[in-house]
Amino acid sequence: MNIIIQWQKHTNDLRQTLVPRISYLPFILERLHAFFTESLIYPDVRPHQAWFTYENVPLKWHYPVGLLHDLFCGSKLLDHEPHAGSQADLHVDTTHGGDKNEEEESERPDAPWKLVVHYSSFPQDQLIPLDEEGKTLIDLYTNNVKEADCVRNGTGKEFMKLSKDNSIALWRAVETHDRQLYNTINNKLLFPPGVTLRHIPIKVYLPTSSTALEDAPDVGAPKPGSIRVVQTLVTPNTPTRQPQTLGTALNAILPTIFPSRRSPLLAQPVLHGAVAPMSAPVKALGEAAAYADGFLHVVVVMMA
Amino acid sequence: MRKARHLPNPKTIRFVTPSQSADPVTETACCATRKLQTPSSVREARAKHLIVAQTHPGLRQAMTTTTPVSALPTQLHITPTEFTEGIRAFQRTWIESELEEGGGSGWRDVRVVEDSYGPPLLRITRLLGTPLSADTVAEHANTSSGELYTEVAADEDNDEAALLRSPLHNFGKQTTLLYDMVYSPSYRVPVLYISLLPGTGTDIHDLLIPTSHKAQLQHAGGPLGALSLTDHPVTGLPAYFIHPCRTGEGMAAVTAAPSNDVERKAAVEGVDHVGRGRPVGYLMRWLGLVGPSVGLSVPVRVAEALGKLQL
Repeated sequence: MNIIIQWQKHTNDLRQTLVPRISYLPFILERLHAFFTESLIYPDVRPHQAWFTYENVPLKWHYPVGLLHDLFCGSKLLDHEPHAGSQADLHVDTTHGGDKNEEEESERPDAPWKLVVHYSSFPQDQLIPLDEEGKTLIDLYTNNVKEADCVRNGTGKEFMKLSKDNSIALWRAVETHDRQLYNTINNKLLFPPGVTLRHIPIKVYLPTSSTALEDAPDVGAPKPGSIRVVQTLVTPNTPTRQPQTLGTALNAILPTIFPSRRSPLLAQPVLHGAVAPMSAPVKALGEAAAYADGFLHVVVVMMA
Repeated sequence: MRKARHLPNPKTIRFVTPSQSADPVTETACCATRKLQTPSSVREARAKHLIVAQTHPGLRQAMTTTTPVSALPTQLHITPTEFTEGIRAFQRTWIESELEEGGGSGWRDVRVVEDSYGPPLLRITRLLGTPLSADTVAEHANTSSGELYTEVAADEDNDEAALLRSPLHNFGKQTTLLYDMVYSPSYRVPVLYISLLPGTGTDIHDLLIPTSHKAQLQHAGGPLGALSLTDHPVTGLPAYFIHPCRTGEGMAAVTAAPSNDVERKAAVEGVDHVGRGRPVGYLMRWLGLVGPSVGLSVPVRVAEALGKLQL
């Protein structure tokens, strides 16, 4: 599934691009730079110095695009009826002017996602800087792959066993969106022979209005309305030997937000642009629905 | 039949700035294990590890054992409960030590910060710049510039407020470094995150790397991962961290071999068992492993006090 990102130079020059959910924003920077090059105030700015905001919030470019979309537009899913197999990639927005219809349109979960791209004042206190060669992105991606591997088997050895060529190829597959190549290598990490699966790699994203460090004697705390990443070890089966579902896992990780193991009462889990069923077994999700870095990135969206 | 265990080759950690990193994909080579180094005595290691860790960036002397290689655990972890116990003891001991000595440990603050979503973390605040010893401060307290300043008070809050009112606040152009010891559930080890108090300094890189280590910057990581930027797990803001992928191995290397069956069994399970690797001991060895290269050394007084705890 893809997300449409929209940007414009002026009202009459609206462009869109299709970005796969499991890819990363920096992949479109070159293209954007070329598009905006004549309009840049500082003509010497390099593509990697660009950064994105949505509703004035800087976007972490090392988060997969799908995760970012779920984080910022996930609530729209809850306001609209879920469509099975929603065709986000086929929707094309051709309206330009301000118009009641456009406002309604933009509230739909599959509406093109309008981001603002900036070429100055990089917020170093909030975003990790990018580098020209794109190595920081590869580093952060690789960190996640290693971590997912360690979560799965407890040692992180399977990733270390990958040859240098395979690690390079894995990233290449993500960059070029080559599913086949990706699966060939990723399967070595997912299904290593003779190794037991200990935990499912999952990160849960929680919108929060406060943080533990706000009371500490410093100003290094994020603003209210920020996102907290919660991580705990999730086993494939529950202590009672039943398959662990998304519901049982969330109930264990965030019992106050998911008091029921079966029904979402206060919040819904959102994954890949859809409300994920509480009954989904996490093992299957981990195999089929993980992002390119091996993690299930689940966003918690509070119900109204 | 257990496989022979390989110890990593101890070198200083590799520092990576986003623009200077070597091909990150070759990092898998940095994580590849290497052959066992020449062993030396366990007792020596035990006595020396604190001193060694604090003064020698290379850990060659500390990575020792005479036990047969096959009986040693390849990675040593710590549980969330043990971690929590350890950091609380750490905070208590530091506070007691500060009270006894009237400050001057070199650390501005040590506190356990609770977290609703996981184990608490330990935040160590360190000021860089001209150190203000209690004596210096007391000396200036009664000068004609007239700013009120009391002796370093036992109450940390008053202390901080007084410091800010004092003209000495700008005396050393102090930068505030924040070291957070955060538990990683994925790797089951502590991870060190380093950030600057916003507005108090420039390049964290220059501040962190002691001059003696600068020459060794380019080498591939040893028993530790590289120093790089990531999101702080609690604040979500950019912070430097030492990648934990090799911490487990490093900890196994600096921890003495099991000396009885209970410990041996625990060692096989990869758990740092109470009796040999109590929580505080684990944290001290961990700090010895990751701390010196980023300017974090446990003040000797505090280390001694911690050593006396039966924790």
